[in-house]
Amino acid sequence: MSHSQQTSEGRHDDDSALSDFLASLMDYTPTIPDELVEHYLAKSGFQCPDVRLIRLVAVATQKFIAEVATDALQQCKARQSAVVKDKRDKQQKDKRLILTMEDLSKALREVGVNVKHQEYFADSPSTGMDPASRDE
Amino acid sequence: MDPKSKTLKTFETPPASPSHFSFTITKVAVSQICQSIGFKGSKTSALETLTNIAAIYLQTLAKSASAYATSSGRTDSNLFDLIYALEDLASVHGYPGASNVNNPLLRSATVIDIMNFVESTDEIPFAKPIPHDNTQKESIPPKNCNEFGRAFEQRSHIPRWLPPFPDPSTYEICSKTRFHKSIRRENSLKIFGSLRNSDTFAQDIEQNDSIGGRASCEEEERGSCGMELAAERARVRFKMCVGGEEIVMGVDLRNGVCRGGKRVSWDNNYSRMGEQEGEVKRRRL
Repeated sequence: MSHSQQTSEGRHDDDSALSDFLASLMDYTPTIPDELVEHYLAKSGFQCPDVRLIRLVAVATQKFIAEVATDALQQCKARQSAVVKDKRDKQQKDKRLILTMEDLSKALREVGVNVKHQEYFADSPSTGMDPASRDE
Repeated sequence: MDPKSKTLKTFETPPASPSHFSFTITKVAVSQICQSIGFKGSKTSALETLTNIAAIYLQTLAKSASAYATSSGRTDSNLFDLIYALEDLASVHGYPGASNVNNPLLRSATVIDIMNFVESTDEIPFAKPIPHDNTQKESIPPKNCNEFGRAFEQRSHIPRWLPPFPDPSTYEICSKTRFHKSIRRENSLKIFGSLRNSDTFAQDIEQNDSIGGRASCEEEERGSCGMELAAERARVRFKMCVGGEEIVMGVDLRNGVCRGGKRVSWDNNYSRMGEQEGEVKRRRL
């Protein structure tokens, strides 16, 4: 009995937290602008007069992209630390954190998107290879 | 310096289509997110891929939510549809509590994750103000917005997307229009054609037709230089108001041809002048 009361209270708290969160979205400015989100929503047949839901979509997309980018950044750092372990002199050059396709494809594979480099023909077999393996 | 020129270049090279416009804006937003994560730069292909994925994610979310709304018999999506859609998209990665069937929808872990994300992330507003494309809205009303066009536009039974009426000078009663002396001669062909009374005008047309298609073509080509009319026709007088002063042109305008005192219409003189231009000039000299 008391357990069910607790859960209902907790549920009530969660609901109020959610409504508070949605209300706070009115003041929050997502990185993805409202106009852009509205454009894509209208393109996809999503009709909603509520600005809070549009903001929620923007925030959700922002979160998704931020997660993918964080993953890619981790991949980038891991790859660079592996390179640094092998070649000390390359440290300065490769220290810059640059979003590359290989890190991104690894990060995207985790969320179910398969991205590959476009296939191309190279002069030598080592041209298109990973710089870490190429250096060896 | 370098990135600025790069952005300028990307703005210039492709044609400005709406999809490219939205893509560019998405690209700015995605690069802002990447920068906030800690990236210092990006390859163009990687950034464009991530931008495409952001757009596809957003559209998939919207499509999924609208599909849930449609299956419930609604046209407007609500929060529950959106949470269903978020759970659908998060199910690839997995989220806590996904296996619990009795978990209430509003306590979904996806929403809680978003709440935590919003609390933990700094607010990064979009870098640039978005230029609103007002040109399309303004082009719907006619460009030459004179009183006539506006009067027609205000009529509610005419749809707004219809093209504007042509310029009123092309169909308005021309005796009301005022001419300047400088343009009078240039427009002699068209204006005087419509200035005349309808019966004489019809007469002229018949006479022109009798001359033949070749002559009328020549008239059009020569344009302002004058036109070949039939030699004989009725005297035409017309009144015009220039600056409140009434001018009877047949009388007032005495050029070399009607110096003898004979009243001849100005138009007739002028048309003759076209064919006898050299002679008239010699007389004037």
